[in-house]
Parts: sequence; C-alpha cells; structure tokens
Amino acid sequence: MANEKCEDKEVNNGSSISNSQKSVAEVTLITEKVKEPAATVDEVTELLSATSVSSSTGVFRQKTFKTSPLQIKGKVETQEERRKRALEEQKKRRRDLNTHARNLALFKPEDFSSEEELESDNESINNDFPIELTKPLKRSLDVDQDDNLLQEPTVVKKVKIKGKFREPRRKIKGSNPYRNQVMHAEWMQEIPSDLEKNWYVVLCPKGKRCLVISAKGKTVSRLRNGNVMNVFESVLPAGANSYKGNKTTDYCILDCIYDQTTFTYYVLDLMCWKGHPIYDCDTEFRFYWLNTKFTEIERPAANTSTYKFNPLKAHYCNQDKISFLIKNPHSFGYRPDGLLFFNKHTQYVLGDTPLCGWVGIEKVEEMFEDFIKQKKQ
Amino acid sequence: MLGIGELLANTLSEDQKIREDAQRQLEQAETNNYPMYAAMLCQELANEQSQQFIRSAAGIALKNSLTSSEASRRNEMVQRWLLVDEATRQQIKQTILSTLASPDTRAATTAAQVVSAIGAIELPQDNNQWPDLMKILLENVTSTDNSHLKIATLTAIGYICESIDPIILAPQSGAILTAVVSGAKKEEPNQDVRKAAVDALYNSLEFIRDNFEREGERNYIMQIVCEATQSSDVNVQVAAFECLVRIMQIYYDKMRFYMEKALFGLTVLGMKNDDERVALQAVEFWSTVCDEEIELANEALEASEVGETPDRLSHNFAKAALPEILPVLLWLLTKQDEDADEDDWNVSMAAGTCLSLLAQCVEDAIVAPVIPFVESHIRNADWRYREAAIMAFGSILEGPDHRLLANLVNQALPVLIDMMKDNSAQVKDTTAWTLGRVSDLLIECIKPDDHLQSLVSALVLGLRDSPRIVSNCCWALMSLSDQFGSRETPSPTYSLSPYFEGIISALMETTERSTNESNSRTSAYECISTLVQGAALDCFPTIQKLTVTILDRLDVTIQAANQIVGSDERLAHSELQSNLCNVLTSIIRKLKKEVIPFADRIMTTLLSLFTSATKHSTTLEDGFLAVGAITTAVEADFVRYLDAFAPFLYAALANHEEYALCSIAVGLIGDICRALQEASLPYCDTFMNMLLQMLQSPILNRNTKPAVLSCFGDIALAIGGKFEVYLEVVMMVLAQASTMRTAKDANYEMIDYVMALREGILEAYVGIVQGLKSGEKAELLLRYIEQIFGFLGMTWNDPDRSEIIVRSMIGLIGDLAEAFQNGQIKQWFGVEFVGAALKEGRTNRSLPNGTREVTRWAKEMVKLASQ
Repeated sequence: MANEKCEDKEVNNGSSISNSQKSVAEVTLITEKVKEPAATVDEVTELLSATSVSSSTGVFRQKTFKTSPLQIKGKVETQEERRKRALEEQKKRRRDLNTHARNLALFKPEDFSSEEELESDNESINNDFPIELTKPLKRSLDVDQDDNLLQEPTVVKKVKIKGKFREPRRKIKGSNPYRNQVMHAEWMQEIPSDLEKNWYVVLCPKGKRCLVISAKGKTVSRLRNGNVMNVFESVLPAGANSYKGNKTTDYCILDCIYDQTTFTYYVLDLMCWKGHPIYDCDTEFRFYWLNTKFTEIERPAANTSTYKFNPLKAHYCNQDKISFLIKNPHSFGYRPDGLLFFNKHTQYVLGDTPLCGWVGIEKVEEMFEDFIKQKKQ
Repeated sequence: MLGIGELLANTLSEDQKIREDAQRQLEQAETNNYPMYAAMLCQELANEQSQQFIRSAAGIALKNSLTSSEASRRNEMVQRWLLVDEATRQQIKQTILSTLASPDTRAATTAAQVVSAIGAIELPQDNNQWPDLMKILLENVTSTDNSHLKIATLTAIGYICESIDPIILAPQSGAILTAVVSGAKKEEPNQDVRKAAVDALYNSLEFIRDNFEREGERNYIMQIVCEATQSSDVNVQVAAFECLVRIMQIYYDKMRFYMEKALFGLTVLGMKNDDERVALQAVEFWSTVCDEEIELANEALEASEVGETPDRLSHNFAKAALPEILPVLLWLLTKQDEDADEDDWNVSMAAGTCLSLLAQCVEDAIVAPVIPFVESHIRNADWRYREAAIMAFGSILEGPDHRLLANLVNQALPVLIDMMKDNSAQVKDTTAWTLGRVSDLLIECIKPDDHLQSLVSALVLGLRDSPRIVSNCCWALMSLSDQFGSRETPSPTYSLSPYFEGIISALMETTERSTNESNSRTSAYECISTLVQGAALDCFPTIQKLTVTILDRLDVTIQAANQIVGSDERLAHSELQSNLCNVLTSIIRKLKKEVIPFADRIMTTLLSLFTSATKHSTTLEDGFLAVGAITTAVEADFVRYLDAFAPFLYAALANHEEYALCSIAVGLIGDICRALQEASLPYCDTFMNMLLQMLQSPILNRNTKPAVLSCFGDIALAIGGKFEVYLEVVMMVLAQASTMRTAKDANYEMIDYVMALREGILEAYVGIVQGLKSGEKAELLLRYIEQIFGFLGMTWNDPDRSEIIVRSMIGLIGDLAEAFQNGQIKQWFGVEFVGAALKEGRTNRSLPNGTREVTRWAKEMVKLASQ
C-alpha cells in the first residue's frame, strides 16, 4: 500500500510540470533534453521522492501569478528587444538620409485628399502676385469675427485670379489645405481656477493673425482661411534664397500676428522649426523652443530685412504680472489688442480650443479687477 | 565491466566521478551493442530480486533509448529499434508485458511506459509489428483479478492512446474505451484501479474524439466522470476533476447541457472541498472556462471586424455562474499560506488567477460585486483579509471599462500607497504588484498633482524591499516614465523632474545588491534606462552624473573579468555588463550632442570592455550598440576612435557563428559611414571585403544577409562617386540576390526572408543611385538600368510585396529619374508598373508614413525625366 501511495504522487508530480499532459512519459521527455540517454539522477530521485509534491494542473499559471513582466522576462528577450530597437533606429537614420537627399517638399499639412489639391497648392505658392497692403486692416484677434476674416482675402483674391475662370478657383477655396491651420482661442468668459498654476499669458499686438511658412527659399504668410497674404524673403531658416542651410528640409511653420504699420510679424507660437514638427509638444516647450531658436537666427540682409520677426513674450499668470500688463499695455512697443491665455499643457491644436482663451484689451480691466484685488489681500 | 544493475546504481551515486563513469559506460554499451543493451535493461526491469530504484532506472533508460522529444533523434531511435533482430525484440516485449503484473507497482508503471514507447514505434509500421498488443492489454483489464496488473495495463493503454494517431487504432477504439470506462465506473470496488482508469481516460480524451461526438457515448463518459468526482477516495476525485478540466478545454462546444445539469454545481462544491487538491482542480476548471471564453470573445471580435460570423460561439458560462463562483473565489483568497515564500501553488493563488481571468472574461460585470469585498476588508486587522482585498482589487483592473474603474482607482490610490508601509510582507508584495498594474493598465488615472509625489515616494521606498517588490516597483516607475516623459525631443521639464534624481539614486542603490533574485537587479537597470529615455532637459545634470557612475561600474566589472570562476558566475557577470551597457546606450541616445564631453571616457571604457570580453559573450553585442549610439552623437569626430575600434569590429564581422553579433557589426558599419561620410573611405576596402565574405559564408545565419545588402547602400551614400570601384561586384551580388523567389507553397519564414532580402536590395540600390549621383557618376549606372528595372518589375508583380517595399520602390524610381533628367532612360519610365506604383503611392492610405510625399516628388521627377 505504501508503494501505491508513491504511485499517485508520481503521476501528480508529472502533471505539476506540464498542464496538458498528465503522463510521466512526457515529464521524462522534458528532463531528458538535458541529459540523454541514461536515466538521470533527477529523474529517478524525482520518481522516488515522496515529499515536496505539489498537486495539480493549473500550476503552470504560477509563473505569471502576481509578477511584473520584468520579473519573468528572460535575458534573451531583453537582448532581442535591444537589437530590434537598434535596428529600427538605424533604419530610420538611413531613411532620413535618403529622404534628405531627395528634394522633398514636406511642408504641407497632412490632410490633402486629392491630387487636384496638391496642384492647386503648388500653384498658389508659385504665383507671384502682388498683395494689397495699403487698406487699413480692421481685424483684431477676436474669435467671432470670422466673417471679417473671410472678407479679407477676397481683396487679395481678386488680384490673384485675374485672367482666370472663377469657377474652378471657387471650388479650390472650399478645400484650401491651409485653411484653419492656426490654433484659435475662445473668448474667455471667466478666469480659470488654475490660472496661476497652469496658464501663460501673452499680450497680443493689433494685427492680422496668420500662418507663416518658410521653405524652399521663400516665406509665405497665409490668413486663417488659407489664402496667401504675402510671399517674401525672410531671415527664417529656408525662408530666403540666400539661406545657407538646406532650403528643402529646414522649413519652418509659425503662428504670427502681422502688424502692417511696422512691417513686423510678431511670433505667437512655433509649430515647426527646421523641419522638426512640434505640434504635439505642450505649450511650455513650444514657447521655450521659440525663444531659444530665435536667438540663433541670422542677421537680416538686404533681401530679408523688409519684414521683421519678433517673438512675443509669454508670462506666468501671477497677479503682479497681469496687473502690470493691464496697467502698462504700451510698454512692449506695439499697439495692444488683448490678452491671450495659453494652457501650459495643451498641444498645438488646429482650430478652436478652450485651452486657449482671449480677452480683448477693452475688457481686461473689468475682468481681472477682482482677481487682482483678491490677491492683494 | 560491472553488471548493469551496479552501473545503474552508480549513476545515482553521490560521487560525481563514479556517476559520470557509470554514465559513460552505459553510453558505450548503448552505442556498441544496442540489442544487448536493451535486453539487459529489460531483464533488470523485470528482475523481481532487484531493488526498486534500480528497476525503475533500468526501465527509464530503456524508454529513453526508444523515444525523444527531438524529431531527428526520435527517427534515429525508431530505426535503431526496428533493426534489432526479431527474436530479441519478441523477447523484450514479452518480458515487459509480463512485468506489468509485477507486485512492485513502480516497476510495473515503468514497464507501462516502455510498452507504450515500443507500441508507438511498432504499431504504426506498414505491417503492424505488434498486432496482438492491444488484444493482450484489453484482456488484462477485462479478465483478471490481479489489481496490480489492471492498474499497470490501464496506465499503459492511456499512454498509448496519448502518443498514437487515433487512425491506427480506430478498429479497436470502441473496445479500448469500454475497457477504460469500465474500470472507472462506480461499480469498480478497487479505488486504485478506478483512479488508474480515470487517468487513462484523461490521456485518451483526444483519442476518443469520434466517440465523444456521438451523444449516447458522450453522455455515458460524462456520467462516469461526474460520478468519479463523488468517489470516497480523494485521489479519484482529483483525477476526475482533472478530467473535467481537460474535457472543458477540448470539448467546450459540447458542454452546455452538462454545465446546466451537473458541472456547475459539482465544481462550485468542489471549490469548497476541504481537500486542497480537489479545490485547486475545481478552481482550475473555472480558469479554463474563462480561458476558452476569452479566446472565443477574441475570435468573435476578429470575425466581426472582417464582417464574418465566428465559427464557434461562447455560451457565456462564466457570466452566468458569476453570482455563484465569485463569493467562493473571494473567500478562497483569504486562505493564504502563512509563509511569505510563495513557492507552492495554493488555493488562494489559484483563486486570484481565476479572478483576474474572470475579470477579463465578464468585464464590467465583475466590478460591482467585488468592490464591497475590497472596501470591507482593506482595513481589516487580519493581514489575510487586507491582502485578499488588495489582491481582489488588483485582479479586476484588466477587463472592465476604464471609465468604470477610474473613480475607484482614484479612491484606492492613497490607501494603496499607504499600504506599501504595511507590516505584513505579503500585503506589501501584493500592493506593489497592484500599483504596478495600475501604472501599467490605468496610467491615465494617475494625476501628477494629486498622486505623483506620494506614489513615487512609496515606490522608491519599495526599492529597498524584497526582490519581488523591487521588480514590481520598477515596473510601475517605467510606466510612469512612459506616460509623463518623451523619448523624442526632450521638453524643458516634466512631471517626474522633481523626483528624477531621487528615483535614480534609489535605483542605483538597489542595483548594488549582490543578488538578482526575481530579476530585481536587471529590472532596476532596465528601469534606469527607461527613465533616462523619457527624461526632460532639467534632468540632464543627473544623467551626466549617472554617466560617470555607470562608467565607473563598468570599469570595475572589466577589472573583475579575469577573476571569474564557474559558468554561473560568468553568466551573472556578463548580464551585469549588458545591463550597464544598456543604460549607457540610453544615456548616449538621450544626451545626443551633450554626451560629447564624455565621449573619450566612454570609448576608452568600451574598448577595454571589448578587450576583456570573451568571443561569445553577449557583452560585445551590447557594447557595440553603445558604440553605434556614439557614432550618431559625435558624427565625423568618430574617426578619432576608429583605428582603435576597427580590430574589434573586424573580429565580429568575421565571427560568422555568432550571427546576432555579426548583424550588429554590419549595422555599425552603416552607422560609421553615416557619421564619417567621405572620411570612411580608408576603411571601405576592408568593410567591403568582409561584407562580401559574409554573403558567401555557409555558416552565417541567412537572416543577416539582407542587412549586408543595405550596408552596401550606406557605404555608397557615404563615399559617393568613390563607390565606382565596388560597383561591378556589388551589382553582380544584387543581381544574384534578386533571383531568390518564394515557391508557391513557401512557409511564412521563407516569405519573410525573401521580403527582407528585397528590402535590402532596394536600400542598396537607393544608396548607390544617390551616392553616384552626388558624385556626378550617375552615368555608370546606365549599364545596370535593365537589371534594376527587371528587379523592380518582378518585385512589383509579386503579390507578397510589403508596404515598406512599395515605399522603397517608389523612392528608387524617383532617384533614378532625378539622376537622369535628360531623358537618357525615359523609355523605362513608360513601363506599366512605374505608373501603377506611383498611383498606389498616392491612393493607398495604408502605406507607411512619408509615402505620399515621396510619391509626389517621384512623380515630379519622372515627369521631368520623361520629357
């Protein structure tokens, strides 16, 4: 009877190693991988031992029970992961280099949908058309002046489409790929509770909100609806024919306010610098990058000095700073239009976003009266 | 020579020399005269005078000489056995069959294994070599009163059924099933026989598939198994539950009727059984149900994605049973072992596993009934209840909708964080695991402002705890880094910045322990790597300090290299060096240009690492990866190190046996060329020679070869027009590689290989065309235009072409067009596939990133080149 007791355990012991197979035959198959062909010490002692027998199928689940993936990851697996990662990086660098060698015009928004659009887009860049700039510009940064916005370019467009049929152009207008490519603020109705902690404020000049793209030796500014406002040479990387770096890959995309009285583009935000898109970075980083990179810009030359580029300064939203901005709105050398608030953690969102708030200069005092008072107490 | 019995006894000797000596003699006997060896083992197994353990050892040795898990070896063994003369074989078989009746049950069971091993060889032969085997075995079961013989025979039948193709025994399958089932019936008075019969049934479950398809037979089998769960003998009960688990696994589709009638109730009762072995099987039954239903849910999802109906449907047993089984599982969670060393699988572990499977299976439905258990016990004075509460909570984090869990996690986090200081080791262990899971699965619930500080402090504290806790804390920290950090352009600061230095130094402290138990040290180094990869700019000072410490540690390991004795120690040493190199590589990739001040020191250390490393160690691989990262950081300045490094690179390139190292070395040539550009020219002759040798090597793993081809492109791109000297031979090699095609019935591995080869060829052509064009030597390519377009056409027309291949093809077409803008090869751009490829590149949205831009450009180039 003692023998038979051992017998049971022997079989149980077998199943403790392999779930689906219950036979001792299979267990010995596993052990014999190590040593063949004679019976091994382990095998026989295992068979003979009457102790340390655990008793069930399901034991195979123990390996993953309450363990981190790190704990069960073997050296071979991590090694393999590292190799793969290195290989990916090499492939990427090779591709970058190949792409670099090709003169690719990469600076287009992602949402092209047909060949037709691509062509229209080339055409509008390549057309050298004069821009009507003498008209006084009423536009301020307000959100709800969209109709205003749409009126503006018609002035430009008339010139642009001279001698062409209207019909096809109109079709293109609806699907202009540059349309709505800037982040647009909502009116700030009340002060966010985390204003001091999570927001930046920028004092904006009066002017035209525009998207500026420098590439292939020229600089193009576009209104919010996508239509071209101006084409010129600038100090921006790749923005002039005299640019010494790579004019194809060093393209930049900026969000600006154009003050036509001083021929100055005030840079509000930076979406892409020298071919590196940073749309998906948070505000904090984009502003940091904007200020760092602008210090690296070349000195303006004859061909690039017509239009100036000045980065706007972003401030922390503490009470002192806000009250200073309200009291001294003219101390930055431009005509103030209002305060624009950026949530520190937002990425660059195309179109409207609640993470960017606008307060017109005329309303600022009223709105922040309590905020300033409260903090003083 | 000693007798076989003594030799076998000696193989179990404590004395290593005696043991090895005996083993060698046995091996010799086996090789010199197999028939005699087999006959001797057989006699020893049958020898009733011999000691039990010697008889078993003889039987196992005999069985091991007949079967192997390795297919090729098994074939050899089969042939060897069949070549044994008829008389000896007959004698062995008869002796073995009679040993089944031995009163020594161990010898008898071993004999059963041998019977099945011989049967597995002889029964499938064209003219069945053991025609009366099954007849004899069945007679043993039905017409003997010898219970020993019955047990051994049933065992033998089970093994045979398990190891043989059912078709071979199809004519006897009815009789076999009858014999087995009759032994398992409740009328069988001997419970040991009954247990042997249930075990045999378990092993036959696949074999009797046809019988199981027939309702009448199936009902009968199920009835027998269910009755066996009620046996008075607990061993029979356990065996019967094991059978049910297996039946559920194989025949889920047929179980609906039996679940309703019996299984449901039986297994819930089984889980509450006082005998843990029974309870474990009953829990396993439900884990298996969940496994099946999770799989079925996946199949249903996949089917619906392609608009089909799934082949099999879930009966949702788990959902239906939830109200019954959940309370039992939660109760079982509190039955932990006292001892914190969780070496033995026990019922509370099984219940925890089952619960997490159940959560994945029934999803949202698990949450409401589990939460009250968690809430009422998490503060219990008894650690068992606290641990069970956390275990329950941790187990349900995967499966239910995140929106449903978010609030709960939010409430639980402060409590969990606090419990990392619990005085029970088990509670802390489970808490660490749960925090790891929260960070892994529900990272969005961790709010930087609310939780991060306390969470990080708790995890850092855990880094000083047991190895298992360390590993879980590392896991959590890595998830936090992935969530809040960025591997690409670093931001000025991020949520982990305030804690970064503290975490790193705690991890560095952890890695100083001498043990790597539970992979804790490796986990900590991996965690450091991950944190470095995600770090923000304001962490750079800490990373720079870390760089120095890591280099110091590497230096220490290098000095220790020649004091190592024993293979275990060597393995541990090499793993440690790999860990350190891995951290170093992450640092270099992160710091980019800012690593330059450290470059000299890093290269010095790496070079002495390569000097001390053995030829086969993986340390070289990891060191090379660090060198690759350095090339990218220092670019052209790498030339300073190249003379010193080149010998190691060449040695690796020539070491064709170590293909992983070889591949990395090939990649490194590419890195060096990209970094040095034309300055790599003096090394290119050697590079090219070694690469060509690799392509010809019969030893080198073929998967390295595509990388070699790409590497030609890297060299061409770096040295431009100077590539002229290699052009002819490389073009010939590429033409040869292009002839590789997949056969109609090729396996996936082969298809993958040919695809990889074509990617390599394309990358080579791209590099060569771009390189020669930049060196104003494009006209040299005119001789090869037909070859290149021939390859492109063939690749395009292969239905297996990958998306990466399409993108590369379009790029190459554009490169060729750009190189020949004066219409020199314009007739080639009119070929049909060129237009088709360009169209595909514009319209197919599933193509990889950048394809549309490349296509736009290529189209423009082709237009100009075709004028």
